[in-house]
Amino acid sequence: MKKERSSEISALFDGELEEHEVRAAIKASVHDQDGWRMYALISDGLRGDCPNAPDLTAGVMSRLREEPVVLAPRALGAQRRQHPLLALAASVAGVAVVGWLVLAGSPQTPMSGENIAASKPATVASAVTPGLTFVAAPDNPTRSTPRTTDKHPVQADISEYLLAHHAQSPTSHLHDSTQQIRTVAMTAARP
Amino acid sequence: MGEREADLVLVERVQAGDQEAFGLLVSKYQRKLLRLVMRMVRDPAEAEDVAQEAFIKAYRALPNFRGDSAFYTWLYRIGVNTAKNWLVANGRRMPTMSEIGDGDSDGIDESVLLRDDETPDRVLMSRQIGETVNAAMDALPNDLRTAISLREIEGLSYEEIAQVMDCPIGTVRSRIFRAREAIAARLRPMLDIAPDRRW
Repeated sequence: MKKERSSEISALFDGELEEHEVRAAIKASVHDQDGWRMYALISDGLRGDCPNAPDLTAGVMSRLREEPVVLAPRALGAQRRQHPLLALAASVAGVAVVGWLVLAGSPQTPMSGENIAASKPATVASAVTPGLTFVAAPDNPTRSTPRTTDKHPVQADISEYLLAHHAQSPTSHLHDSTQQIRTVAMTAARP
Repeated sequence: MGEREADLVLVERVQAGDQEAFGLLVSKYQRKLLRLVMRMVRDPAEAEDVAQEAFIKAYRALPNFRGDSAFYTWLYRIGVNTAKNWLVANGRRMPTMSEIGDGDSDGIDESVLLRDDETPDRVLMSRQIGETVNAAMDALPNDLRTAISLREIEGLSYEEIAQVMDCPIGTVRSRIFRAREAIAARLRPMLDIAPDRRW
């Protein structure tokens, strides 16, 4: 066993690390699984939990490699770290966006070439969805100006999907209250 | 950050796509889950299969885990349901609640661990592991033995141990780490030379 192994893996096993130490300790534990397993064996041995039981880890991990990799929205992390006021700010911002859609969007309003050239659309998904185009304002890429290009309604389920998976988006991270808002560019399928 | 929060961080890593982080959770809770499953599925070989299946189900269900309960509590429920389904599928009798017990009750009778093909060597190995751990504990300096006993057997937090032993938390962390390293140093030669290593 490595003598230079630090106490961080031992402390992580007990859940006794400061938050800023956890990520490095997890990385160390993944690279030093022998140490982690030994600590588990010692713990189970002291408590009388099947000390001679087989190590199921290899079998489980072997089967996991055949499973699709789990990718979940940061529901757990957002729930743990989100400041309570951010939820309120996000709700207000969401209402503001919906209000903008209702009041400012017009199916007959064309987009001029200058507007298209000056705007910086942030594309989150390449889904072609009839209905709505959001164009980032030239002076503030985090704000979006909706333009309805045809009469088909935006599919609510796609918006919900994009909102849930925004963390995996390649676009830049949005801060503060705009974290809950996504700028998307969905172009209508033109004949 | 407590043990529950530490597990949630590992879960979060898995939810972000890190399968190896799930391996850490498996290593940590496999024996505890196996002991639970064996209260329902008596045969050790079948209990191993059921426990492994429970871990796979837990991995698949992780996107739905929100941290409302501790990870082990959630895993415990999956283990119980997996064992129940296995019993039904195999036409076995469901054990009573007194037979299942809870996940934290004392260790089960060692005879339950015996399989029809259990060799004397394996039984001996099981006893040797326990004896080695106990012998290593006895050989520890008092402060190291006290610290790891309070942690592993009494389940105290580092802060509580620091109060009991009247020392800084950093000292508690160091003593527990050194105690584990000392015990591991005695265990490792025995495990490495085991003809059919099972741990």
